[in-house]
Amino acid sequence: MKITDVIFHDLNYRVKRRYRNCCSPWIDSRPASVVEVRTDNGLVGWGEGSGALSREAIETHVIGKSPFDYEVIFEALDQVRLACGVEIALWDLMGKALDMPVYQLLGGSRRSSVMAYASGFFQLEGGDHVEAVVEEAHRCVGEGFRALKLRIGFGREMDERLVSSVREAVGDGVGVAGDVNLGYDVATAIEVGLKLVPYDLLWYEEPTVGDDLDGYCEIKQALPLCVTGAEGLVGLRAFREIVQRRAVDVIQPDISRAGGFTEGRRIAALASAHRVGVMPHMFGTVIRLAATLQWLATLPEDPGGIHPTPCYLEMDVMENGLRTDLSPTRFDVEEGIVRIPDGPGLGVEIDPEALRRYAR
Amino acid sequence: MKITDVIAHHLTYKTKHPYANSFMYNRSRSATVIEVRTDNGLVGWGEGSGAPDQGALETHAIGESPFDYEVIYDGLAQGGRNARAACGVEIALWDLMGKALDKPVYELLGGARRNEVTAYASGLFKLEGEDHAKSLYDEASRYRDQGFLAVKMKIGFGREVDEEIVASVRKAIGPDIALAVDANCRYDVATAIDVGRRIDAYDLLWYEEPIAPQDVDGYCEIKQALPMRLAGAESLQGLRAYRELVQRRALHLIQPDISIAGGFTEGRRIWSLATAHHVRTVPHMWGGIVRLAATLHWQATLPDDPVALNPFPCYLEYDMTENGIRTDLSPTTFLLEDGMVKIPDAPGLGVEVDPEKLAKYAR
Repeated sequence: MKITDVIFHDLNYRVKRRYRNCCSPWIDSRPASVVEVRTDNGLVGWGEGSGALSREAIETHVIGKSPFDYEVIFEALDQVRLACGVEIALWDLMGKALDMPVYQLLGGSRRSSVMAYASGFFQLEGGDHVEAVVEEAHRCVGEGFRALKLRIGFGREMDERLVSSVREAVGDGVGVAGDVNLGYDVATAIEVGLKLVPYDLLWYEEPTVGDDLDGYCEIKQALPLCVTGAEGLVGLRAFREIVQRRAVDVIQPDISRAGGFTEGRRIAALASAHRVGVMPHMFGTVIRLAATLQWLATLPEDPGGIHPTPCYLEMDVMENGLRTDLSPTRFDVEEGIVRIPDGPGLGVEIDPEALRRYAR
Repeated sequence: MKITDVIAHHLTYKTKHPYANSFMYNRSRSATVIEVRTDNGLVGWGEGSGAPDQGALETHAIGESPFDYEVIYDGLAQGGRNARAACGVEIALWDLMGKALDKPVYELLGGARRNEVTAYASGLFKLEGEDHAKSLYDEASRYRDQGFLAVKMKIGFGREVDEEIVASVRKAIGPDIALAVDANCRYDVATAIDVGRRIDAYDLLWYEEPIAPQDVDGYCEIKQALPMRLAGAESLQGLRAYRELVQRRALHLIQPDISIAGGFTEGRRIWSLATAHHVRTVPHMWGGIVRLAATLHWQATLPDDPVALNPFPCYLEYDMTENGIRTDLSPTTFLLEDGMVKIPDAPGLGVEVDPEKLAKYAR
């Protein structure tokens, strides 16, 4: 089997009701780079990355190669972030060629389902911020979620209002995490963190800017909370410092940004050696979701036990046709869990009509 | 395809002409060759150091598919505590997957970076009853004539002997063949530094295991005191055993052994840890033919770091010592050609084990 073509689909979903986190402009679109890799035996592999590779890079390093040379190809491309989509598609192809799910190629699954958390709770344009978030919380719990992640970072008072209101609405049986999206300086992150401790947060995500590792260490020392981060990092070595210094309890690499399955596996090994947890970030299309699920199936429990700490799936619940309409495959939440698909490859087929509809 | 049986062959080869490193004469060589049988008739071969007990095999391996290689290995290795014992089974699973898919193991690992590796002759032990410096001179001369581009010799015999024998080997091989030395953990820090200063004049490729791997502070001291590369860690099992040495950059090169550290699965994780910390991985190989085949597949896939027109070679330890478990267990050979050894491209590991020889060397 040899690769005959690589097509980058530049997609965009226009958001109907704009939303923002504490640091972003109003988000009115959800763009995505979807990669289609075609082979000489008719099999097609799908991936999602961040950006597109040059035609020259594709022709030199990918066309004519076997997907089974996945590490060689990935290295030769020498552009970790841009190569993620192709890398993921190669695993989809290998899985389809061997009639095995990607998790099988990675050495077997540890679990057939994962706990999911609803990732949303942005500030919606128009309407009352807290009311809208509480309503969204009720809806997510009604849909089957048993864990939620709120966007915070809106200031001490607002953050406490958001978290306390949601906690009151959902009770103690639903997990609630908070994501600051890099919005605080160290002192504020600690001040707000301490205020939120009584509400029993699952974790406190990206409390300060990514390059302030000293800051993360201070925050982690000051708070009795699980601190997470690193979703924006690209490539194995970018994770060394944050992992070696245990600046977070859990890193959150994104498979479509950090380097696909190949680099993801290496990052997980680095984290495991230093006893830092791994909980992948996922805020993208159905392809990124499918790839993340395959990866999650293989992450070892560390340590194991009868009641291991769950490794959560980030289930983006914001409106995004690229997650809900691009494929007939569904990833529904039932009693808080999502099943890992066991079809060949990523286990997701792409609707060509939807691809056309969402083309930029 | 499901695993039906795992058989551990504990083998011993009695050396005819015993050879010593710095602490013992090898009057025999041993290895555990693992045979994994499946319900479709395919047989996979691995080599380890000991084997998992029957209970562990029944819980984690029997009845499973070899394609569950990580789940099986992690079950047997128990967080690295039993990594050594699990290696042979782990390696055999890759042999099976390769045979089932008609692909060499390097292809399953993501593709080969190279189709041959630079070999270094690993030998130059002390021979019983012979003049030490002279026998090394003769042996090293043979390696020069055979076309080796690099050799590794045993030291750790005390500072005077070490200087004498290193000089002797350097004289035999001339200035252009790389020369590594291996003290097999015989020294304390001060002696290691003293010896290292004396032998630096002979232009060493690396100084291996001057002290025990547990003394991370010691390695850091030695590394600061001496100019040449420091290598070590060959006896460590499991990923986490490597963390301290790697994180503190106590070594320039780590030398995990695929049949000790934890097979391809753990080897890959160890490489990831080392690479993240800018430490080079040059595998250790001092065992039987199955270990050699597995090491070749692993080394085919180790990336150059950094990638360059003339990268630091991914050296293969080419064990030249007398050992029937390497030379007599299989019709397969991995021959030296112009200082290089080709990576096998048959399905799986590319090595078949002769059942008669298994019986011959069974303990």
